[in-house]
Amino acid sequence: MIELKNIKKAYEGNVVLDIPSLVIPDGENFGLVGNNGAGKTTMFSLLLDLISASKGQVLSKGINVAKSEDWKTYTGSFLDEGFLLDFLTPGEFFTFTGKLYGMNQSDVDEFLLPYHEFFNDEILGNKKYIRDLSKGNQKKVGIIGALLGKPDILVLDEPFANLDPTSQIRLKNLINQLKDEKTILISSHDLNHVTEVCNRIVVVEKGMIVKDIETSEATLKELEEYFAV
Amino acid sequence: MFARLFINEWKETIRSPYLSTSLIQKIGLGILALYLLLNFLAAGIYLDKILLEVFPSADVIVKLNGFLLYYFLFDIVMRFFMQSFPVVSIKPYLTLPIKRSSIIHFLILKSVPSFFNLLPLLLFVPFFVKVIIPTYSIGASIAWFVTLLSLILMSNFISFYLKKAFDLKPLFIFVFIALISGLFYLDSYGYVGLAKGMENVMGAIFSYPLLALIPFGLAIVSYMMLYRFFRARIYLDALAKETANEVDSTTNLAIFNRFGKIGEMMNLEMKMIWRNARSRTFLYLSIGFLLYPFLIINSGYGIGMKIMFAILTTGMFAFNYAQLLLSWHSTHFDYILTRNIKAADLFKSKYYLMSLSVLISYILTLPFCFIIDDWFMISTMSMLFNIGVSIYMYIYIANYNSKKIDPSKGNTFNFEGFGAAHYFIMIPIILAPILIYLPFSVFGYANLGMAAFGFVGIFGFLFRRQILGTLIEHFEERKHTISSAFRNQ
Repeated sequence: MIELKNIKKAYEGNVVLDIPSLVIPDGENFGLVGNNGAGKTTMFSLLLDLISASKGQVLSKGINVAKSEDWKTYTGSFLDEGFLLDFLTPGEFFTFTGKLYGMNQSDVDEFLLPYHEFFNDEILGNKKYIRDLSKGNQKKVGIIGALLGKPDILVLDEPFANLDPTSQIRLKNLINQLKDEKTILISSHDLNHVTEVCNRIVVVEKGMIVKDIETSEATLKELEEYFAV
Repeated sequence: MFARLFINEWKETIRSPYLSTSLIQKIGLGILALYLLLNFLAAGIYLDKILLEVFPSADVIVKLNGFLLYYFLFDIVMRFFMQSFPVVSIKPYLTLPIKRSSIIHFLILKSVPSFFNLLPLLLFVPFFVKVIIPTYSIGASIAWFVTLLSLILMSNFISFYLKKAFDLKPLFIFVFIALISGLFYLDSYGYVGLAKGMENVMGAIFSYPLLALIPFGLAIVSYMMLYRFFRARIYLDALAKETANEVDSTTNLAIFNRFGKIGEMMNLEMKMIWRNARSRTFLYLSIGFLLYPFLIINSGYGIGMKIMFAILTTGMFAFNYAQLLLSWHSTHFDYILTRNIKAADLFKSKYYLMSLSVLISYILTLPFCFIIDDWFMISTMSMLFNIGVSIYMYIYIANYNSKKIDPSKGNTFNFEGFGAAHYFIMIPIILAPILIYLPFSVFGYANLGMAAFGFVGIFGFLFRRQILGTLIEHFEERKHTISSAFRNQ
């Protein structure tokens, strides 16, 4: 369970995120939607203790993420290329990351088996550093890397952006498979995708939560109407 | 066009988050610069008297002319290590309607108003006014001055070129330094007469002032050489090709695997150092510094000076690497913050890696004990001091350096080169052991003094858990500031 209590983030008096209370229960598939600058990435960065809150706290399984590093053992995340070790090959990256969670080489190989299709044979065994991969392939490495170590919580920022259509569909299937075992937090600009994979959608605007809906047939229409100006 | 490029450049500088963090360093550098300027000015004003003192029977102008060549050869080498040459971030300009040639001319001309070009002026202009103008005709005086300016510009452009070429071919500079050293060597044994030659050249220019066009022409040639170098490399893919390298799978030291997560982290750092152009440059440069003790053979330097050399020789890699201790990770800092890596793992691996480099440098330079008196004792104590004190200081300072870098890029179009600032913080680290040693040696207990600063090092190593713990707490307080600077630039 993730709990945001009285969270406020301001830069020089300019409030960019203001969430009095938000609870994300275990097993929820949480979608975060909003225009550019609405505060989506800020919120995820706070969850991951990448930035410090001006006020309030984020509790992960009841523990303040800014006070303890325990959340790292059960949280997988990928926000952008800063989450990749760009001077490694994808294979080395998975091995190194796996070792951080106590896996050995054969554990990692076994873990990667189901994702060969997702990688489209372009990534594994390819002798290229991650920094020389295309943006889309870097994203694939990051997303699968976030799954290493069997995290209970998965945080993905814009996972569908930069992916080709086939990979977008494969990623949707992948998230749907993981749905029951993990708490998944996704932010997206793509209303179609996000309504398909999430059972709860929160809309943020100017740092505030303006909508909090349980996904149903009508959700997509509701969101489209909200964003159509 | 130049004015607009200049304004953008200025904005980039003042809006960089790095500026504020390095302010103290800048003030320190400013004081050092002022001190140097005053020294050069004073030397310049009394240059004729000094020359008269050294060569009582000779013509001071002839002697000075002979000295010019030595000065500028040395100047080129000094600039290579000390001067930060300017670079504009070219990518955004490539597609704009600005001529590529303008960007390059701007880049090169920006290097001219520099501290290092001011120094020779301070040294030689007073001499020019005091001695040359009263002695020679207007034409000859102007010719001499044009020659001086040409030499300054040539020195500027050549060292700019060397510094950029060094990023692409690191061995190049060693060949160049070897050449200059060889020249000095031959000169000192009288096989070639550098001073005599230069005296003759300058004498000819005094007689036929129009000959000053030749050094002026050479300055233009050196400018064009630099221009062509950049012209050929102003395409993004040309730059990329030169910095990309093939995947290697060798940089895994199996021995580290025994040390669990910290060993893994050390392996990762080794890969990072080896696979990124910038860190590789640092590595090569540090290997070059292992030859440094050659300078003190038979020099008659005292123990204090030898301690300085030993601290530098054993600690050079650690020092160079630690300059950007966290910045090396600026492209993947969020990975380190969100994965199952504790700050302690990160800093322990860095501490052990730097200690290992000190130990390796120590072992590699041990043979100097056959040719340098007391080297074994001095370098052993310096090695201990580096491991037990210096490295902690580097880690502490690193927490204040949130400069973002792209380690995969060489320095060719990159602002992040070596500069004097880089070497500035070395001063307290060199002085500390000497300060510990001196009081003992003054009272006649030199060996005890040496043992004292080595002992401080052992003490630091034994208490590494506590000291690193304090440093890590400090990092925890600063990590958000550091990581946001890495993200925002």
